[in-house]
Amino acid sequence: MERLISMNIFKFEFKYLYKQIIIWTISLSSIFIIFSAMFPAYHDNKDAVAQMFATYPPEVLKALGIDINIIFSFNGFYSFILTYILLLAVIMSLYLSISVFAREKKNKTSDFLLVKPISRQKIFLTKLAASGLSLIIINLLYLMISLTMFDFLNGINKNDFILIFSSLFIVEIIFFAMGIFLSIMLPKIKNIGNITTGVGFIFFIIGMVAGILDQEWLNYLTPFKYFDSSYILKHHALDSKYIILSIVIISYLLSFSYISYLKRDIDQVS
Amino acid sequence: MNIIKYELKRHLKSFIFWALGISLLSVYGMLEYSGINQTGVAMNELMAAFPKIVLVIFGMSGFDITELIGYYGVLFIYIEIMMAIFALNHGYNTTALEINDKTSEFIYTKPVARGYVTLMKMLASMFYIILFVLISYASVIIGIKLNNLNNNVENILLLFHFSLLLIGLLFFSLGSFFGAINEKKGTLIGNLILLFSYIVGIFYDIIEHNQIIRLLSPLKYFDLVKIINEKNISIIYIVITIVLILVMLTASNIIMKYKNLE
Repeated sequence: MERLISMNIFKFEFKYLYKQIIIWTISLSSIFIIFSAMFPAYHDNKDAVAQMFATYPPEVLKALGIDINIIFSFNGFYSFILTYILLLAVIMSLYLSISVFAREKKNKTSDFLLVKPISRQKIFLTKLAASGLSLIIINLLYLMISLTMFDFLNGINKNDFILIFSSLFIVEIIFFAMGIFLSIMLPKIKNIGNITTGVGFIFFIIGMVAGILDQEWLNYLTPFKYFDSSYILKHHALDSKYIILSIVIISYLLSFSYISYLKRDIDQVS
Repeated sequence: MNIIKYELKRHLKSFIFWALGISLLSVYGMLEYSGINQTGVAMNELMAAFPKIVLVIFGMSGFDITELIGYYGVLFIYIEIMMAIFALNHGYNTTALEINDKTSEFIYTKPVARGYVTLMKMLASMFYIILFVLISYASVIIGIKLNNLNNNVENILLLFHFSLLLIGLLFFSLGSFFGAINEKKGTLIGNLILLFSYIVGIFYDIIEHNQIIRLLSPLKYFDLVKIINEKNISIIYIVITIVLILVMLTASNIIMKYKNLE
């Protein structure tokens, strides 16, 4: 362990990260809990909608892919609110990785860190370990809290619920890797908050617009659309095409960032 | 004048990207509308059956998407968010940028007053915000004309873009105010306000338009559904917004004047 990461840097990074862990866990969980509180009111609509659908020929409903029992289950509800939980989670992942990897670039302190007798390889891996660990901790806490809520609301089919959660987690990792990539590749980083919300919202907007315009090809452009929850609820699995795509993107971003972190010229303090 | 020229040149490149983005969104959106138009009626019936929360989550609550203006309203929410991000960034540029870049000693030692520098920077940014609004308006009109859609909606579009201008200036002044107070944490606060007001806006739609919640969410000060239905903008919120803008811009100018620069 000590050969790969430097404990001193790890401790230093984690001192900043633990506050973020607390803040993000609270905000993710509270938005989930507030939305879930609306589930009973949502569920009350079931009979009215079922009556209306009874007038439709079953073929139409089948063509539209609508199954009332699925839509009005807790998982169906969760798949709707996931859009916004995803937005928050993506901004969180970007912020976690950018704030760790761009700190030296933003404060113009790269030469202080890089003249330490620690290889760049070790620095990169340490930063990756510290921020990655925080991402995992936040997600575990969120999973625990949301599962408690799930049981409380008498949700059925825990497997699907966990599958939807894992799709959320994969998308988070994509953006986490993208944050690392951006922090290393951008020539100048003035402001972490701006980059984070900018990138997060732009991909979110592409996703929402893709939904409104109903264009399949736009889905490939934004990880927000990679794992359609209705697909998960129907097939009880993640779409393997997009799993492969995600793995390719993540490994490309990480390896490219790693190589360029080892080689790039560092910015000097003038 | 030199400062304005310099600032305009400096932010031109990023502005071109934004302008391309919004004009593509508007023109392409209008193109797609002609497709949706035909199948829309059945779709509307189906959507009316769904619980309100579903429509809110798709950002379609209250809009009649078979109508051109309702459809554009759904897209317009995202133009508003883009404007807010753009304006926050510009607000930050007017105050905190030079301090963080450590170039404050170059610009603030020029033989002009410090307040004048800030004012000129603000004017340059406001010019881009106005240009953003104009480009958005022009591109939606072009989109309508290109696809031969009926266009007796110009008045409502003007109201939409007036509210876009106010939202832009509001987030611009938020950005510059928080940037002036704290150049390190300032934009983070501004961005959190944007995220917060977007999410609060969803709750505002779900909980049947509660006025206290509305005050918390600047994005909902100019409720697009209300603009479509009533064909005017609520005067109270125009006044609130303008007062907020003026107070924050004056405050950030004064803070900058007395700020201790190193």
